[in-house]
Amino acid sequence: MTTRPDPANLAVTIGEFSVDVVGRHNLRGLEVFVDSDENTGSVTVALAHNTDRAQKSALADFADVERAFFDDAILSFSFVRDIDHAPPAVAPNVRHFSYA
Amino acid sequence: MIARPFLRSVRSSVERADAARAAAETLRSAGDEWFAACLASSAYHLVKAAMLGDPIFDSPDELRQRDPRLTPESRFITTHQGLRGADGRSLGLTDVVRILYPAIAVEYERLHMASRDIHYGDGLGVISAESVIDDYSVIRDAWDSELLRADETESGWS
Repeated sequence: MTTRPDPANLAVTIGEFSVDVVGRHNLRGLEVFVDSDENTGSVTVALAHNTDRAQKSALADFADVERAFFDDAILSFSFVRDIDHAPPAVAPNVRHFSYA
Repeated sequence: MIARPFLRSVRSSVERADAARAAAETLRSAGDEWFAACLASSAYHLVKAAMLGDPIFDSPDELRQRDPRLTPESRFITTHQGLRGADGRSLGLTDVVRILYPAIAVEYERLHMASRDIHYGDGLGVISAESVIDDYSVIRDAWDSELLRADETESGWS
């Protein structure tokens, strides 16, 4: 990325980029939390089909996400069956993005 | 920068990897999903063994060609993810694996995810026990076949 994303919108920027990279048709949902103080983030993914191949493909895609935001946030990735749509309880410095 | 190496040699890393694999086999036999954490630990030590023994870390020019952020000191990285410091973000172990050993990168990452889910989450969940074994086998086979060397693989992302 040549232009650094606005830190206040980092969760949204990472989330939208992740959705594009993995592909909407491959997703049940995707959620991002970014701690703007620590510059850390987590991307939680519910795949449409939790096959071995789909998980490996998504992990290869997330290498692109991590590379794109390498200087902005230290990211971790997780697979889940479904994204919990209840409003998350987070600290004020944590920004949230959700796609479903 | 790392103040103290956890393990000092290829040999001690491989011994630790073998001990973790033996523990994994015991847990797997008992039907305990914590076997996945042990296999992830074993994979970690195999990667560390590979890095400690890989001659590419003796060649700063070659490292720079692979990735300008790689230095001979990168061989001693122990944290999975890079840390932020005054000079920006450093590389972590998963970054080094992606750059130098891309043939095992996805498997290594998923094993790490499985271990994290067991330690801090709800357990293996959507990562199957079979995939954990398969992922570990890819890494173990690469080590046993002496393929965990940067000159045996094409460069990953940079």
